[in-house]
Amino acid sequence: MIEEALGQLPTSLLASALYAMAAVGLTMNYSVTRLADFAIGEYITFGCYVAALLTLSQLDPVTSMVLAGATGALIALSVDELAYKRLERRGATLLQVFIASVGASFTIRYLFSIYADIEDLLFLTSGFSSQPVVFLGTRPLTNLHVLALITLTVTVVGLTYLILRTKVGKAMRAIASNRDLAMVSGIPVWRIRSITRLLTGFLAGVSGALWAYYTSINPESGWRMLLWVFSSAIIGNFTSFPLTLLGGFVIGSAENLGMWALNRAFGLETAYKPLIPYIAIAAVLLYRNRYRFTRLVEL
Amino acid sequence: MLELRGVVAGYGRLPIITGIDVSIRRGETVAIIGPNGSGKSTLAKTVVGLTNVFEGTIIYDGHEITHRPPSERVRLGIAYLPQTGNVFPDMTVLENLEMGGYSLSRDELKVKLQEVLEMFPELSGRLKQKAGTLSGGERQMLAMSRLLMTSPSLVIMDEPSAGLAPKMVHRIFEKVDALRKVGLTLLLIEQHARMAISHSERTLVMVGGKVVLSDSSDRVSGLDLATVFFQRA
Amino acid sequence: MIGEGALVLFQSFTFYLLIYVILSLSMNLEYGLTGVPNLGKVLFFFVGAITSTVITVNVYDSILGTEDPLSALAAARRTELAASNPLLAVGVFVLSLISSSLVAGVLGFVASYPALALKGSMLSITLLIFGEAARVFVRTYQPLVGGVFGISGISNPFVFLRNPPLGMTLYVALTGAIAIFTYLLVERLTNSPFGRLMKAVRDDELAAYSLGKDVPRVRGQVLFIGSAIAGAAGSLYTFYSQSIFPDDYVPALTFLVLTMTILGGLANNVGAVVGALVLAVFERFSQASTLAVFGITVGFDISYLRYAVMGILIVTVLLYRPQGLIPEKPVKTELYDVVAARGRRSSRAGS
Repeated sequence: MIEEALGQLPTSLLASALYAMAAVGLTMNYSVTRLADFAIGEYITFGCYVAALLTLSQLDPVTSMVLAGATGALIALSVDELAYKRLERRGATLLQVFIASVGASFTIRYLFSIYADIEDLLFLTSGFSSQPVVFLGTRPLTNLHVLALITLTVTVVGLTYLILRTKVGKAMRAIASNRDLAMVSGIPVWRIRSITRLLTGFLAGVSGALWAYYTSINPESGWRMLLWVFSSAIIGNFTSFPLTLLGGFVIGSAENLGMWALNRAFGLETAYKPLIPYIAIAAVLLYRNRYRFTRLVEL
Repeated sequence: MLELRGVVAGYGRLPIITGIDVSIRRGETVAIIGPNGSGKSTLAKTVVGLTNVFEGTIIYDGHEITHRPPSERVRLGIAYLPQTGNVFPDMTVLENLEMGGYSLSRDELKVKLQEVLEMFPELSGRLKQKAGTLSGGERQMLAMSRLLMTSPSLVIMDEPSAGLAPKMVHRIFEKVDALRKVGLTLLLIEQHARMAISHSERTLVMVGGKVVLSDSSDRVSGLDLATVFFQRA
Repeated sequence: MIGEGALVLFQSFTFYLLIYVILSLSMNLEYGLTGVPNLGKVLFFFVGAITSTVITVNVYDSILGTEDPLSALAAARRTELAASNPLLAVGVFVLSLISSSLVAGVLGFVASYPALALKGSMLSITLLIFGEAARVFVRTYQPLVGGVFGISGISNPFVFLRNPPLGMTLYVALTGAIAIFTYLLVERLTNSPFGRLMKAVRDDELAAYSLGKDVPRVRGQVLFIGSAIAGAAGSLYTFYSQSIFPDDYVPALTFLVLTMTILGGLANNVGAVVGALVLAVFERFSQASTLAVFGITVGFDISYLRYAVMGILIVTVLLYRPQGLIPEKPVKTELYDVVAARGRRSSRAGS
């Protein structure tokens, strides 16, 4: 029984790490820009494809992952320059920019789908081959799990250092706390925003790469992950990094570990597996005190 | 050093100040007084670039800055103390000061910090404390010292004494005098009108989004302010 | 024969247009007027469809005593029963339509509860997540509406005529009447005191709070109305297609409706209709089957192009014409006319 639970662990950890990384990027982006960027799914998708194609052409998985991150970063920055910043400079409301991000997401996803359809890339499996490292119960802990956990650790440590110790990180916190004051303090708000966008895109791209190593991908992979990433970020109130990380783990484990537990306890059919994270997010939302929420989540 | 010509500005598409002509000389301390809603704060925000300017021009030190972003104005030497939310509450006192001196190098920052803390010794012992836990007066001190981190030549203060106990109000005005002594140009927006007049060389009276009176503070102090404030209403 | 084909094409276009108009009006109520972009729109449309299916199938099957409601035979028997018993068919339809809007409305109110105090983007994302959750559940849980394969044999109320083209024409006409009713209802609501309250919540929540208005409740009420309208549309759609397939109810439909509202012009009911018209033409005529009629083929799935165009439309409209094709008008009240007249007079006196 414990062995079986342990067997669920590697996959849960992998999913958790993926969601957590992208969600932390989303939260960071939200803190600085006040935008819950819907197009983050697309940065993930590009990460998936770059990593899959590079590993298929024999590049090593770690370099591919970094390049996937770089691609995500570039796209996140371009979308900001081409659409979001322009909108804000024209006096668009935050809600309008959010809706524009929905539009941007569709534009990128389906233009890419057209390309993928023509190039016959609608369904793709990466060149990553996973090798068992240790066995937990009956299931192996593979080099992919190890890679994901190391990447997540590096991300968490790196971001913590960045945000608490560096000038850029402090500026991000300053902007998050009071944008006008940050501006009149002489903090180059737009430049910090661009740096933030690059980081968000990078994290999304990296988590996309890990996803591509885990399973086959298609142009909607990022969109499928988007809901989980948003759920994780909602658990973290879009403001708290530790809570967002926790959110990633709640959502990531719910699907595997949670399904297994419910199956064991109540005999729930495994066909309902995709539903479990939804229940988790609904439970979290219901549990929250409405009025506390009003204060914490602005727009 | 600062000149506003026919400035119409406000928020969104709504003008609040309607046709302002003001010129401030270097080293001068100018008090801006007026009833609530007369556009004093909007004027301050317009100079620092936080409003939409619909008409007119703003010239600072020979630069046309009408549509420049705030960060650029800070670099040119304009510092602004907002009325509320003038410190980053989740950051320490030291981090707040660092943010003020964002464009400085590490060494410049150290020197500047020393200089500012000499002027505000009450903050020295609290560098590691979160700004949100400071008292109202201390917060105002921190906000004022943050201003100085950018080595400004024009300092705009929006009601630095608002909501403070009388004793603290006096301390704040002492600091204002200290700033005047080092030769800064000061724009002082105040509800404590009498206080502001006695700590300035010139006074502007704003009513309904316009400057209705501009004269030496000595002469303004002799007037019945209520009549001045409401003559146009 | 060609005539009949053209009729079917025309009927189907008109019907989809009407459904889009209804959905677009409800989205406009929520997003345009209250500032809540309901990205879970499809959920309430779906709930309407489910409610109608459950009611219809259960009523017929309990009369027929059917054992296996999902089978093709059961579907045929339901259709036959409806055809031979017009009163029953009409009754079931009316009952379904009303229940669908009620159930969807209540669900709209309830689903927004945990998120009521959320604003703007957070609320819409939460609704989107709930919508997907519902679809995943329904396609898995067979007893409700047959799981992923759905269920059929949900005849429209005019099946007793035993003349499908005529029956369908009448049904589309009925849908048209309901669309017009929806328009009048929404227009009336827009210009009522409640309409002004919605705009107040949208434009300045804090001010609305400070006037003693319960902002979360206003959002909940608007979601009730908007969802009830969407639920009715879902019911109409089910009786039109005479079947239900959970995978028809994907978020893409929500985004299509969102694009209509934005393109037409937010907070403007005429705009919502115009937006629906433009996009319905585009949506219907960019189907592979329609293009094939004109001898056009492309080397990729045409639906990708359709979605990409929707995205491009959203971004371009927001960038270059945020007010949409038809801009928002001031609220029509008697007082407004008086104030506007006085404003004109005083500005003349001033100059």
